[in-house]
Amino acid sequence: MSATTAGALKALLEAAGLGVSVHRDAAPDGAVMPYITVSEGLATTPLQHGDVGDAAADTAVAELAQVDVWQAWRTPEKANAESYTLVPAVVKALHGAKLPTAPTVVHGMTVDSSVRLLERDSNTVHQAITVRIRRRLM
Amino acid sequence: MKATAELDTGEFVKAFHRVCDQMDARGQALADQVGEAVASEMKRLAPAGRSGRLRRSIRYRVVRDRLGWYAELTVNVFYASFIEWGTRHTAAVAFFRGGLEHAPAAVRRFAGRLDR
Repeated sequence: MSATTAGALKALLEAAGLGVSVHRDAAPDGAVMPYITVSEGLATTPLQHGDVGDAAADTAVAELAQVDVWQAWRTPEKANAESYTLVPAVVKALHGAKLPTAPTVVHGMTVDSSVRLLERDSNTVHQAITVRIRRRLM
Repeated sequence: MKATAELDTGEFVKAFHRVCDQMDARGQALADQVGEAVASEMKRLAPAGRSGRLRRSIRYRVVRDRLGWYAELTVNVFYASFIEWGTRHTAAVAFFRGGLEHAPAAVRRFAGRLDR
């Protein structure tokens, strides 16, 4: 059982056999690309379940989390260093997953979007994947 | 036996157009109110910074296409994506996505008011 949503996402991605390290929030100094970071709680909004004011109704929320895939863009020889299969594999692992180790009951998880950002100065390709997790609040 | 009836549809067509015009005006008002609410939420979530350029650059405008009225939200500073999605050295601050999450609640709130 993970203590946080990000921890559950980390466990899910580590179990997916992607061959890259996964870190919560930020990678440690000196981490070698490619690696993945997971940030939770970008936005959490309530979902209405049951009647308004019903104390027995489920308190469900939609939580946005971000999964970042960090890869080198070019090799020192200026050849392509980016893997084009890593991001689709990450999206496939995330979309529709049940997240069994999450601290609360997860009703569903979907990938909302995926954006590719190139940081030329640091020779980094950053793919930001937005994940929507519908879960019980507690 | 043969019967003939004449139906004057003029009044019906006029009333129908009136209702359509009212719905159109309500759609525009709703898009305007929701756009303003979402833009405010984005400004609240955006990091203030020293200059406040990011917050000031968050704008909305109400536009219409063949499907109806909607609010178009824009952020017009080059570093907005670095803040929204983060970089290797800075964490993401999802002010834009966070603001958009506010939209369904704003639609419910303002649509309810328009009915009254």
